[in-house]
Order: sequence, then C-alpha cells, then structure tokens
Amino acid sequence: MGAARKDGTMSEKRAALFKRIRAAHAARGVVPDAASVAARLAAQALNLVPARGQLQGAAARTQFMNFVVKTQATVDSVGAPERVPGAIGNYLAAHGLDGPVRLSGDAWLAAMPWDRIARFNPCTGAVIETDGAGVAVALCGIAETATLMLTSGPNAASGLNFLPPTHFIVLRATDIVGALEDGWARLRRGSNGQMPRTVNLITGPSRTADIAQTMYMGAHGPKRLHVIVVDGDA
Amino acid sequence: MQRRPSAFNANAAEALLDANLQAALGAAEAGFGVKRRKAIMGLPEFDALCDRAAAIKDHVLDHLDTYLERFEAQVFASGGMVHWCEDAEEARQTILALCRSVNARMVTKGKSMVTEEIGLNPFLEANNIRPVETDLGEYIIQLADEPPSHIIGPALHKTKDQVSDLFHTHHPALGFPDRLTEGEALVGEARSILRQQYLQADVGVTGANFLIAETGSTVIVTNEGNGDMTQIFPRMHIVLASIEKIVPTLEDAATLLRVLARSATGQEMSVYTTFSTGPKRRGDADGPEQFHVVLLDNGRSEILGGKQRDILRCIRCGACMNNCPVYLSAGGHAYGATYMGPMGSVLTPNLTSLKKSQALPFASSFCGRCEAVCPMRIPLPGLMRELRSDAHEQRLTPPRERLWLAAWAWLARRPALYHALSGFGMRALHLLARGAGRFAWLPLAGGWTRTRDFPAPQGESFMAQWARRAKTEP
Amino acid sequence: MPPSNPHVALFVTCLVDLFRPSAGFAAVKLLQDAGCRVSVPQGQTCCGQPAYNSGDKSSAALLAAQTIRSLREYDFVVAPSGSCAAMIKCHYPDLLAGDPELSAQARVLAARIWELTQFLHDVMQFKPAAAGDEKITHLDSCSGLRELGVQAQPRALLPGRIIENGDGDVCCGFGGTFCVKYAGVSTAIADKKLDRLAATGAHTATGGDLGCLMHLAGRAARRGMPLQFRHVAEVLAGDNKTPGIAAEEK
Repeated sequence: MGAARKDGTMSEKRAALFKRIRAAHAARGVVPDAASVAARLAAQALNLVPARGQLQGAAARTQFMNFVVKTQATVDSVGAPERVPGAIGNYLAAHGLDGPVRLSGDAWLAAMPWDRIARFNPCTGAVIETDGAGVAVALCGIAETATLMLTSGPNAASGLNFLPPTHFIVLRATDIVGALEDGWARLRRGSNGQMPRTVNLITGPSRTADIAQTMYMGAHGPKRLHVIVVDGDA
Repeated sequence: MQRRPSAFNANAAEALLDANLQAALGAAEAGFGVKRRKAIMGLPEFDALCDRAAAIKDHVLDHLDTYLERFEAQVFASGGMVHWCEDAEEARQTILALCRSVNARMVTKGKSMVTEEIGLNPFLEANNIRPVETDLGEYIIQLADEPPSHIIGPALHKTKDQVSDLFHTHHPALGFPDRLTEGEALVGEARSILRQQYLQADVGVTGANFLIAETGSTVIVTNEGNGDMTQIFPRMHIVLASIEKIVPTLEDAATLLRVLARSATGQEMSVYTTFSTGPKRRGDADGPEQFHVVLLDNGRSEILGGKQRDILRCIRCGACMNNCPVYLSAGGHAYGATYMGPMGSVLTPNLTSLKKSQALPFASSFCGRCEAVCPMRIPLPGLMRELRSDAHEQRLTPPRERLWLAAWAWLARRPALYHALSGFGMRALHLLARGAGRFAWLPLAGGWTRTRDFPAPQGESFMAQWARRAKTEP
Repeated sequence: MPPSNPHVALFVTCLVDLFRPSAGFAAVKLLQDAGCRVSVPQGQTCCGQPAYNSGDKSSAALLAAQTIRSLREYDFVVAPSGSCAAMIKCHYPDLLAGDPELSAQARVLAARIWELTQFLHDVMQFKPAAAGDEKITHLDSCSGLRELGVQAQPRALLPGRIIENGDGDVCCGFGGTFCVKYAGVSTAIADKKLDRLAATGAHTATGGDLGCLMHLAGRAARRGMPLQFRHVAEVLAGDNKTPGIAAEEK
C-alpha cells in the first residue's frame, strides 16, 4: 500500500474524482459494467493486425531485414553467435569508430568470443558517458515495422540503449516475429505476468527535426543503430 | 503575440507579417502532408485501424472509472504510486512535494503538453527548482522563453538562425563559446549539454501518450531518446498524465501506435516507444528508485459527461493542425493557449472558459480537413459548431454580429418580403457599381473590402426574374 | 436508367439568387437539357447555414423548416452549391432532431437533394454538348468534396478541359462569416489558393459554390490578377457572354 493511499486528503481527492466520473457516466446514461471490463482485460484480445504484421518465419525475416534499412538503421546477418564480435569489429572499423564497447550482462553475449576485437575494448558493467558503443540483445524483432523490443533487468540496463553513440542490437533470427502483438505474447510468456520496469521498442537510430524541420540523426540517443541478426542459434 | 485566445485576430495579423513563420508553416504543410499520405498508403488497413482505435477510446471513456481503478492497482502492484489531482494547482503542488521529498534542485523533463497545461516550469522555477527541457524543440523554446507553437513540433516556428542566436546567447556560460551555424553542429552542442543534465538531475518528469490499465505501464513516444534518458537516470520518475490517456491492454496500445506515428510525423513507428512500469526492480541494472504517476483531471471529468466528449479521444498526433489552413496561416502562438489548431480550438474552451476563448471555435472555415485526417474520428468542426452555439446562447458573441444575424434571419423567414427587398436591393447595388462589376469599398462591408473587392450583383435577383418570366410564359 | 422527365425543384441558394442569377439560369438550362421539368419554389430563401455555423441554431432550425416546406412536392431538389446541398443533406436531420415530424421530413428531403453536377452526372447521366474548348481549372469546394463526395462529376462533365491545380482538397479560405470575422487569415489562405490557380496557366477558374468564387474573385481583382471566375454551371451551359464574377461589364 503506497503512502499516497494512506494520505487522507489524497483519498478524498480520489473519491471526489471518481464521483465526478461516475456522475458523467450517469449523465450519458452509461451503465457501469465492471465484469465486461475485467473480461476484456483478461482476454487480451487482438484487434486488427495488418497483413504486413502477419508474416512468419523466412518471410518475416526478409521483411524485417528490408524494413530495418527504411528506419535509417543498418543490418547484418551472421551464421553463428561466434561471429557477432567480428561483425561488430568490422562495423566499427569501417566507420572509423572507437570503443569501449559496453556489453549488456546478457549471458548469450557473454559466451561470445570478444577477445577477437580486443582493440575495441569490449567490457561489461555500468554504461558510462565515454563508452563508444553499446551492445544489447533484443527480446524480439518485429517484422511489421522493423522494431526491436528490449527489456530492462539485472543483465540489461535500459541506459545502454541510449547513452553510447553507436548502438548494436543482436537478435536471434528465430526471435523475429510478425507483429507487435506477437512481441507482447513473448513478453508475457517470459515475465510471469509482470512487466519489466522498462520495455523499449526501438525503430531506428535517434533523430530530431526540431531545427527548421530538417532531419538530423543522433539527437540524444544513438547516432547509429546496427542490427545483427544471428542465424544458426535456435 | 498575446497569450490569450481572445487576441486571435491580432495575433494572426502579426503572424501573417512574419516571413520566417510563414516559411516554416509552408514547410510544415508540405512536409507533414506528404509524409502522412505516404505512410498511410503503405498500410491498406489504416482506415479500419482508425475505426478500431476510436472504438477503443470510446470504450475506455464509457468505463473510465473502472479502468482508472485497475491502472492504479497495477501501478501499486509494481511498486509505484498514483496521485489524483483535480486541477492544475493540485498537480503543481503534488509534483513540488515529490521533488522536495528528494531535495531536488534540478529536474529534467521529457516533452509533455500537459506540463504546459499546468504551467509546471514557471512554478518550479519560482520554487527554486530548475526545470530543464530535454526534447530539442522544447529546449529551444525554453531558451527563448516561449510556449510551444505546435504540439509535436514545439519550436516549429524557429529558424535555424534563430536557434543559432539562442544557443550563442545561452551556451557560452556553459563552456561552449563558439557560434554554430550548421544544424548538425547545433544538434550536437545541445546533445553535449543535455547529457550532463540527464546524469545530474534529481527527478525526471515525463508525460504519457498512453496509460495501460492491464499492466499499470505509462508509455512515451519520442524520436530523440530524450524522454528515456529523462526517466532512466534520475532517482525519481514522475509521470504527469491526464485521466483520459488510459488504454485497456497492450494489444489496444498496439492498435493506437499504428495510427499515432503515421498521423503525426508520417513514420510507421516513432523511434522510441517506451513502456515504464513501476520503479527499478531489485537487482535491475538501472532505472529510477521511485515511480509516481500524477493523474490530472483539470476539467476532463466534466467534458466526459457532455456534448464535447469526443475530444477526449484525442491522442495528440497533430494531424488536425498540420492540415488546417487556419493553423498553417496563423501559426500556433496566435491561439494564445496551450493547445492550438482544431483540437486546441475545441479543447481550450472546454478546459478553460468559453467566455475567454470563444474566438477559437470561430477561427475555422469549417473546411473539414481536420476531421478527414483525424485518426480518432473526432468530428472537430461539429464540436466547434457546438461551441459556437454555446457562445451564442450565452450571449458571448459580439452584439453587432448578433444583431446582423437576427435581422437577416428575421427577413429570410419572410420569403415574400425577402424577395421584394432583395430584388430591389440588388438592382440598386448593381446600378451603384456602374458597370465596374465590383466595389473596392462598401459601407458596412469593411471586413470584406479591406482585402478583397466585393463582386457586384448582376442586377435583378434570380427570383425576381423568374417570377416575371413565370408571369409572361404561363 | 436515369429517371424520365422528373420534376425537379431548383434550390437556387441565396448567393446565386442575389449576386449571380446567370448561374441559376444556367442550372435551369442544364436541368432542362437533361430532361427534367424544373420548378423554382417561391417559398425558398436561404438554407440557414450562416445561422447554423454562427451558433444560432434556433434561427437555423426555423429556416430549415421553411426550406423543407417549400421543397416538399418534388421528385428531386437540386442546388448549384455543394455547401447548401450538404447543409440540407447532412445537417438538417441533426438540426431538427428535437422535432420528430420535422426531422422525418428532413430525412426525406436529404434523400432527394443533390448538388447540381452530382445530379446531372450521377442521376441523369447527362452529357452536356461540348461548349468550347478553353482550358479551365476547377475548385473543389470543401463541403461538396468532403460531405457529398463531389469531385469526379465536374471533371466528367467537362472532359479534357480541366487543368488540375494541385492540392485540390485545401480550403480557399471563404468559410462563410469566417471570411469577414477573420479576414486576414481568410485572405492569406485565398492568396495561396490563387497562386496555385494562376500556376495552372488557365484563364478561367470554375467552382460549384458561389461563396468561394466571390471570395477568390474579389481577392484576385484586388491583386490585379487576370484570372476569371465563373460558376461551373455557366461553363457547362455554354454561357461565355456573361462577364466573370467581379469582372467589368462589357
């Protein structure tokens, strides 16, 4: 029970607000129906899911790869998780970028051979302002819009998705789903019914059009987003 | 520009002479319009999704009490707190008390129109807490000490040169002495400065695009990532949201998200859509230690029971203003209110007072484009017409207009007299024009002839001519 | 099959009645050419839209009732205005909702009322005799476009003659009393529209609503633009002698 509820004036204000809302319902002749609301909440029913969100498997993967580019991000695919560090090293080298490369605490990442790109200083721990790049793992990729779903937790800092100027998101090809609703289904399956503190849906790198309606990349979050799809890891 | 809706006409006149503003509005019309159309063409189900989205919000409004209770329970269950506020003053005091509870001296802010609605920034400043806007557009207008001129592009009216001047006025004291002129460099400088603020802030305040009843989550949608850094790094995250932002489930949020970004910026999804649920969990790598949701009524519960309820479906995409010929001529500041354009012309009289803002619902040609583009199917011209009717009934409209209207309606209800008088009057006017076909000036028609010639009638009225013909050709 | 020799009431609209009878007579000619028997009920004045949009619902309702009474006995009612036709078709039933008998009559009228080009094309399947080959540009006025769906009809009736002027769904800034209450904004919107019309290179602009045409013609005259404005009915009826709106008499 929160302090706000114990606070007498707050509970009075709360009661007054609900009284006003119920008076408004009554004025319109709306009959309260808590049971149907409860049923609706429990059902978590799908609304209309567009055709482009209903692809699965290889078709979803292809669309996801195509759409990533439309979000101004880049995408690469590797045949095995061992190749992820190399792909990241290649990207950094090709763009003339430096580390340190801050890895999330994800166990899958930890098992990858980061010593292969030691010159970019791969490291774990709290993200700091001077990090050159962040590497995070997506819970899933959503083919409908090339959106990546990332969740916070003990091994995943949400700040890692925003602070470093270059953002790598690593994704298992088998985690590419059709629509956002498929993402919610995965999220619910993995979280015992409770939402993680933060769920980030990321669709491309940071940008702004707040100066004279001209698009500039890297407003506050990452200037570059590079997605690495890992095949061959079921 | 005067910050009161009754000054709309004077403000608009000023806006029309501002070449920079007109250029910006021209770019907005072209840019937003093309991008929105392109995004919609890429989604054949768009119209059907709008219908679903509107139905979801209607359902929520019909059961708002039940959904708010569920939302509150879920926020508590995830370790957060909910604060109920009837009006702006209560919300300001609640936020101040929360800030003081952690001895906050500096607060970062994500973009939030509802914080504008309650006037949070000047209030915090007056209480020795420094609010720092982090959305680049909001940051620019905070430096300029101006209100937003657009709900999703607050600094839409500022040119790059004006931004350059503002930065050069304010940034040397922060260790950035050079004048920058390139957009990319300006963005980079703001980025460097605001990074320090995110990391030093005691409290982060954001708004919410949606509140999810099922999970107790609050949702923000940004392109910059500023809202995320505002809520991840400080010890306390305060969400200020109005009560009608509720959406039942994550699935419902998915439907609304599909129409929001497409209608707003023409993106398929905004870059960052973030669901925040409670404070940081035990063992979490980051996140705020406290999570507070301040729920604001400020007149919504009254709107809920009345004829203007449909405006509560609004999801603040801005499509109505991006497609409004009046907004695109007068700009957002002309409205003299927090919310502008068609949705503002409906919301302002409902949230404040019709007496003080009756100019706004009349500031529309009723062209209907706002209604046509509104993804939430809000009948904006109909709602404005209803407000005009209220203004008329409450005798708030100018007496001279009422007199004209009454005289004309009196005459028009007497067809024989009307046709006789108008037949005569039109002949007289025709003669008065002496073949010029128009008048450069006419008594009592200054509202027309100041900027336009007034077309002269052709002579006898149609009805008079027809009646004569009917007599001669039985 | 189009109806045979239907009895059509012309709802001439107040602006055409007072300022531009030539458009009314052109409408009569077109309806007769299309095979209609045309009457002009004398009990009509104004549809009440100015009162309705100014918030004076009670005056608007009285005028609506009067209009309904005057237009009761016809197979169809046709107005040379999308805005007035939309007022009658889309707004009368709501406006009169408080009076069951009147609102029922309003719904009957709503089913019978048509904008002129829509009626000629959609109902009468009329193909007017080619009346000249001058290229023109056409304004889709907002009420007709969005409330009635008038867009294809004038183009179909004037095949090959219309040069499109770009964003045709953008308002001209007239808006009834809006154009005097907010004259500055209204004029600014008109200027944008006029620039787009002029860019087509056409010398004549047509439209289905006299309010929009008078507003644009008046502004064009003030700016000294050579554009000529005519009601689309005049052009369809082959009337090229009557001077354009706000133009000098020859």
